[in-house]
Amino acid sequence: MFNFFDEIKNKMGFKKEFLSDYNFVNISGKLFYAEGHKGIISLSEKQIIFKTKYYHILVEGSGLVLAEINENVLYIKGKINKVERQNV
Amino acid sequence: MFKNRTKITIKGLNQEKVLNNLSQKVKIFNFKRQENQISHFEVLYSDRKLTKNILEKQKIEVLSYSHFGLVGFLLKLVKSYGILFAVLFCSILYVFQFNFVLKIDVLGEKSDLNGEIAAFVESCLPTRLKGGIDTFKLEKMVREQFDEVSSISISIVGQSIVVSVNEVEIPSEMGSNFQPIVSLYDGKIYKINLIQGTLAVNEGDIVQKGDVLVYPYIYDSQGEKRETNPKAEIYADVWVIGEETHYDWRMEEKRTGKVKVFNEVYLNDLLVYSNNKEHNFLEFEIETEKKFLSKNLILPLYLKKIYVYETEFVEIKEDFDNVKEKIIQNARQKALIFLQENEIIKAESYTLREGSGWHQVNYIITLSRNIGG
Repeated sequence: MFNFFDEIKNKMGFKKEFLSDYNFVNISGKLFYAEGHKGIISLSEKQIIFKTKYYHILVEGSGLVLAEINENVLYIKGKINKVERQNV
Repeated sequence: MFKNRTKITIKGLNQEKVLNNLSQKVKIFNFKRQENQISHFEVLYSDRKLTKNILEKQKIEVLSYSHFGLVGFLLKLVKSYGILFAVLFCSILYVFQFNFVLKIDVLGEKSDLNGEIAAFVESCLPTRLKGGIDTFKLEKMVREQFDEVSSISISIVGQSIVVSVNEVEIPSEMGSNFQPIVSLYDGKIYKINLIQGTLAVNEGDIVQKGDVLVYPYIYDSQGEKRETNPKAEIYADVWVIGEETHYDWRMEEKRTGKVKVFNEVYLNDLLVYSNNKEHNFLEFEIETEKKFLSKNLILPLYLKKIYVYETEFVEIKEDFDNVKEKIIQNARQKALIFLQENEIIKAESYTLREGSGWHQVNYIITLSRNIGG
């Protein structure tokens, strides 16, 4: 199966296993996609914080909705102003 | 429409933990926090039971479940047993009763004969079931029963039996019960145009209402008397009279100007509201006005307005000479009532009679009128 992140890693010469903690992409500040999450820490219309293996990821904006979530992947819709990686 | 999902609203603390536990097992969509402790989200319709079990284990309060999408729609439809049952029952009833004849319509010119034929056809029906009715046999039976019917056609249209009837037209000359032409008014004949029959009057004769004008027979060239339908145009000067009496002293009842209005609301003649209270008028007149409160009479609700006018008796002394013209005009108006449409007045006059304290005006209008009917 085609994997966008694996393709990029491959192209840049990284081993897949090397960068396997988390991946995310912010599409035009309106849609946020993340792989490798380990659960939601906090959720509101203005900010959503989720865990990864070693970090917390903060997504800030307005009208944020957790559009879809399963055990590994999540989608956030809304006006995304800032995505920040925080040390645990 | 085709996203078959279940929307769940939950209430409780630490919803992030619930969300994390849930997301390990099921896919969650559109998680949104509504208030501090209330959130709603969607799961696949197929995951609804698993979600419910997990939420129960988490001891989280579920405020509502609602399904949408095609499955949700069908589920709602299936759950509406009452509506389904009613629709089904009505459909069966409609199909069942459509096989029966409910009424008989007779299309003919004579309403009394139509009624008789309808009653006869109804009595001849072996069954109300459409399949059991033989329209040819019915047509034959009606033709045999009614001599007045020249042709008949019976058909079943919808749930009605439609009987089209053509009655026998008997020419007037063939009839045997001829009646003479009699005068409809008092008058003086001035013109006769005899078409058929034997004249009983001449021009210049004065006739009274009910006098015979034309006999219903003729004498043929052999001198034999033969009955016929009399026809003639007979014009006469007819007098119509209007009468008005004036009393120099009289008591008249007049309205004082005081009026009381009461309202009553009726539901099909049943009084449902009234503000009708007693009035203290010694002499009074009552007028009522009825007005329906609903359009198309869906509800037979109507308002009855009652106007109570106070009246009093007033003594009037009036000299006849002062009101003579008015009395004559009143008498004329009374005479004019007897005029028919577009009639030409040939002459007008009046006579005056008087007694002790009273005068009577007789207004006579002379008209030209066909008195032969």
